[in-house]
Parts: sequence; C-alpha cells; structure tokens
Amino acid sequence: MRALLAKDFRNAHWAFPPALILGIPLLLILNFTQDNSAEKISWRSALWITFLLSSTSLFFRSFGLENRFNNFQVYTAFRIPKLQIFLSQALIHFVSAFLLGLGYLLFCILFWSPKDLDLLSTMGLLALASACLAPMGTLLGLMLQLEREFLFSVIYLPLATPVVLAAYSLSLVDASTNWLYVLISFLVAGGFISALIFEFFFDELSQSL
Amino acid sequence: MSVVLNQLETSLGDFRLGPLSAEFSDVGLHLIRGKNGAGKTTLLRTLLGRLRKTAGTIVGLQFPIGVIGVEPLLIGSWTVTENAKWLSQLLQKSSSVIPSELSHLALQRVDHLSQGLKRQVELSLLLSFNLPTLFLDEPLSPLDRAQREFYAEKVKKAAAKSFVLMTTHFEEDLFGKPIQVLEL
Repeated sequence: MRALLAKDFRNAHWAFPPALILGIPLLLILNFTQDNSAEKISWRSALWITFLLSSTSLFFRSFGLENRFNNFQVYTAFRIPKLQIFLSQALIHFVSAFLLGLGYLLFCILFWSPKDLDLLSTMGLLALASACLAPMGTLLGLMLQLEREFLFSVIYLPLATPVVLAAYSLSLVDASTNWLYVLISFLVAGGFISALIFEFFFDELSQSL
Repeated sequence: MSVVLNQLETSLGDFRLGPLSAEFSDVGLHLIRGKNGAGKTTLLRTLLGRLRKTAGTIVGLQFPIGVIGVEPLLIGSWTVTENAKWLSQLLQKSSSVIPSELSHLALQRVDHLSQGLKRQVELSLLLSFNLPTLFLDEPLSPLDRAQREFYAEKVKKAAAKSFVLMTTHFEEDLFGKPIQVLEL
C-alpha cells in the first residue's frame, strides 16, 4: 500500500497544479463579467461550478503514469489486490479534490469577500463532496485507458451534478437536510459501485488494445 | 506441483485460441513455439489474467509473475533506481539494490534509454527478484549478441529455481534444452 500511495501521490503532485490553474480564470471570469444592474452570481455558485469543472482535470489524470507507459500488467502479475489500488487512488483523489476546493474557497473569499461564509461548514461540505467524487473519478480515470475520454463529459459530469447541487444547497443558510442524505447516499452507493466495477473489470478496463 | 492447462480457450476480437491442454513441471524452462499470429502472446496474457479465458482451467500457477515483453514493465518518466524501488516495494522485497550490470544506468530516465537498454533493465530487475514464475515473450530480441548470451545465461540460472514460460523465434540454443515445448 505504501508503494501505491507514494506513486499516486507523485501522480497527484503532477496533476494538481493544472487542475488548480484551470479554475482560477473561471472564477475571475465569473467575478468580472457581472452586470451591476443584474442579479449577481453568488460566491457559492462560483465555488461549486469551478470545483466541479476543475475536478475533471484532476481525475482525468488518474493513472496518468500507467496510461502513458501502458504498464498496468504489474498489478495483475504481482497480484496486487485491486481494492488496494482503488483505495490508494481514491484516497489521494479525495485529498487532492479537498485541497482544490480549499484553494478555490480562498479565491472566492478574495474575489467576493462573502459576509455570510461559515468557514467550517463549507470546509466540511468540500470534504464530503470530495469523498463522493473521488471513487467515481478513480473508476473513470481507469477507463480512460480505453481512449474513452468522452466518458468524462458523458458520465462524470452528469453523475457529479447531484453532488454539486447537494453541496451547494447545503451551503445555503436555510439548507434542507434532505440534501445531506443525497450526499451520504451518493458516497455509500457511488463508492461501493465504483469499487465493485474497479475490482472485477480492472484488467478489461486497463487493456491497451 | 505442476502447472496444468485443461481445455483452455480464449478469444481476442475474431481470434480464437484453444482448446489447449498441457502439463508443465513447476520448475524449468518451457518453450511456446508458433508462427506469428499463432497466439503465443495471447496465451501468456490469458495465463497472466490480463485476458479473460472463455473456457477451461489453469491450475498450479504461482504468483507473483515476472513478465517481459507482453506489456511494458517500467515507468518511463522515472529513473532506473526509482523503478527498481517501486517494483521491489510492490513485491514487498526488503532490498531494492540495483543489479551491478545496471549501475551505470541507475540515474538515467527509462524513456531516455534505447529499446535494448530498456530490455536489459527489465530483465536484470525481474531476474533479481527471484520470482517463482517468469513469462518471457521474445526476451532477447532487442539485445545485441553479447547481451543475448549474458541474459540467456541468467534466464537459464533462473529456470533452475523458477517456472519459466518463454516464446522465442530464434537462438533457442542459447538457453539450452527446454524441459518441454508447446507448439501452437
């Protein structure tokens, strides 16, 4: 597990800066293209839209090394448990996505100077949303070996939308707790299904043919 | 314990392999012979588990398996030393010492090496781990004559303790007499 974590950390270290940089112009555009006479985009909307779009860049580079050098076979040949590979990758994705969210939160504070920010609960929501998205991002990242990049726009964005909607709604002052159930259900069901597909179809999904 | 293939079948697109039945002793050098497209690499990938078998059974194969030539082994953007450390950690080997024949390449990035040098790195690293099983698909093909002789000797030594399943189109004699030959 230590070897996997170290490798995934190196990969994330390489993937994180582009993902962070991707969202900064988006936040700038959202902040600077607002008409004073019209209703403004709230800092919450800006935060979650940017977080969703930039997370694609983060997850897109899952298994970046294995995809590039086409050496998934070591995991099968050395009998590395697939669940271990999944957990290592999902854990690193979770931490990266959370840090990405914190980065954007900082930019939102700088650009919007929100008066109604509850820092702790927003950080909690970022952590929960990251935990929901990380397993799915891990699975889809693996599928990219099949040159199915379109899966990210066709599957990831629609699937991630409920997570972002729930996180946005929960960040409102009068949030309904039903959204919390949506997030928790997504975390449990999404994590379980992603792990299951990953475990049983790792070799098929990582074929280079 | 021997390695037994019983009515093994697999398919890859329109290509069908099998049914194949064979029994190999669990130590020694075993050759798979066949013309291009006969299914040698497909068989190795199926035994490895990278291709799903459509029928039959495989019994007695010991993991971890060292694989050369079927799919790449190394991470190209890392140095030889980093790859050695990564592979030894995955295999939970306590030592990640670079074999002496690779010492001059230790700090080189793998994707800066020629095909022949990459193969030398792959062979030296995998053979240093003393794995119970080795799948070698044309292991010597990118090497020059001197290196072929050097690594053929190493493979022969490994075959004294491990189950080695190998494909090669030429210079079989470098490896000595195989215990068994499977013709496809």
